[in-house]
Amino acid sequence: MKNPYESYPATIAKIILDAPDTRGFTLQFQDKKRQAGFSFLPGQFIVVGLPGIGEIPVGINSSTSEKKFVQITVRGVGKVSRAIQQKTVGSTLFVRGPYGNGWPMKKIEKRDLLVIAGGLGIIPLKPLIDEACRKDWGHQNQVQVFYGSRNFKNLLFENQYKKWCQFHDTQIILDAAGPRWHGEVGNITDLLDKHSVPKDAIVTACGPPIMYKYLIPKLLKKGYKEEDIYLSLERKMYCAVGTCEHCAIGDKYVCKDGPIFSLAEIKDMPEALE
Amino acid sequence: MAKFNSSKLVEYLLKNNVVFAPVERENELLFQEIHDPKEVSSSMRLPKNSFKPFLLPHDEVLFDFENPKKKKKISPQVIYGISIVDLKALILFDQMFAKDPHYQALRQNTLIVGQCIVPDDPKFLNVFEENILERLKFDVLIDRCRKGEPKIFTGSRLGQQTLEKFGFTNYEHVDFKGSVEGGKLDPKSQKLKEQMKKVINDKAFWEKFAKDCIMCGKCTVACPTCYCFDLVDEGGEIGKKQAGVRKRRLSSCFYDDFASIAGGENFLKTKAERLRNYYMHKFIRTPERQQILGCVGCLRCFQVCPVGIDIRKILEAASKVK
Repeated sequence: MKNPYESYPATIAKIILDAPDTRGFTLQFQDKKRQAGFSFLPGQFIVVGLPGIGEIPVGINSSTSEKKFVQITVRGVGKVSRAIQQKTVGSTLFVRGPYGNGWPMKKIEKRDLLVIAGGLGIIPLKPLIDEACRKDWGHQNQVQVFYGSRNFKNLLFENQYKKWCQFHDTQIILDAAGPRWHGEVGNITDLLDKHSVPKDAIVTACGPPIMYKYLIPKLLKKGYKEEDIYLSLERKMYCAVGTCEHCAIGDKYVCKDGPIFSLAEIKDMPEALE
Repeated sequence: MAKFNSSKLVEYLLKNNVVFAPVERENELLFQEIHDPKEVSSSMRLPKNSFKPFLLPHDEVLFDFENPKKKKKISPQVIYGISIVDLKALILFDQMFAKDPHYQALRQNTLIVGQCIVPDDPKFLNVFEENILERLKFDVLIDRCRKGEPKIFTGSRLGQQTLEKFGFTNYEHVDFKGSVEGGKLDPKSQKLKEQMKKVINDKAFWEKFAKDCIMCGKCTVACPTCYCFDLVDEGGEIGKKQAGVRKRRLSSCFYDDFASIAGGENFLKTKAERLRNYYMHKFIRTPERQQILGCVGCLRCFQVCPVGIDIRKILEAASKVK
């Protein structure tokens, strides 16, 4: 029987400071076979940690086609994330996963797509956007990316925007204007009014609970169907295999049945979107 | 041996096993390790604690960072005198931890000797269905509920072998026929689940029942079906090497850190939300996913509750909703 709590050492091959207090880590499993065999779906997450400190679930932001490494982005907000931030190139992190269901790729490939990311919510959406940049992606389908961030400095993956824009319309909105920003200012929901959005599309959204609070009524008003709106939820997690109960909502586990749920699945669970 | 002698059986089991049994201590009946058959209580009450710590220790090493393939040494153990209600909880544990090698290692080294003991309020949840024994997993069961000589059942090959080696053959064998008939939740539990769904999103309902809750978590400690746990990583770097262990530590959904995350968000903020989550787990989530009720009707949660939150009153109120 496989030990579901075993983590595997991975070396930090590269670190970038992507935003204040937010670092991108390129990880490589020390066991080459494990690295070569590691595959995941866009929207899935891994659990990373340090002995004596603990573990955190983090979305994978590298492309699914990347076999040589796995990339994550960590903001130092808690005990574990701060400890990870202090690590240097060559240090070891312990990794297990991937876990969770991922975005519904089969359904997405056939339809127009509206991607909505708020803050760190861009992380699990990046592999999906990358996927939609693939040459063999159904480019007759429209892909619209909306990304909202607190300010210019907090924007993630800036070197990717050019590539994204070759394939899809990408719109960014910031909470506040600044000397380096001449683009849109306001709430992410404003973008839905300002830009023509694909009708009858699949919506994939990830952001803080406050974003969902305003976004969902707006999407429904615009005519998107409950079963076509997909949201990635964040919860406290320990086991990541649906046993420890910390991430439970209703009769579901966010770690195992999620983290991505259609609105239709969770609309009757007030605790899901509170 | 024609006549069954439970004391002799315990003596026999003690030779090669660690034995846990109900013991009288300071006017309380407690499940704990025994070293002498005389320690075993003949009380027909339910022990205050359940079998839980013997199969899901409060603190258990799950992974060693330095030595990932390290296997723990496990000595054979006997849980002696476990009641029918706790045997029901054991079924749930077996299902929940079916793929957990740590639980399974302990479980497969455990001989279960059941005992027919009625809870203090036997009418609650009607735990005594017909043919209950074929829905439970045990190795040996001593039925002392009836008058006269106890009747002895076996529920596994291991149980038969144990009794035969011990020298008792006058037992009746019961084949395990699955925890629920047809693999489906029984109609009574199904009804209870549906009733619970009617009140689960009623904020006022949970605020009313959680009014006096002090979030001490005693109910979750006493409950034989509560298994929520944290993972705790201990140790750290020694020289350039990473060392340490990952442990499972039982936790309680009533505690503040149960659903809180870095950055300040807490997904179970109030006592009403926590009480609701406790009932959601036992009466909706578990039956939906495991096809059995997450409550065995032992009433331990009520008996240990310092403010007297009564599960019977909550279920009664839920079942009255139209």
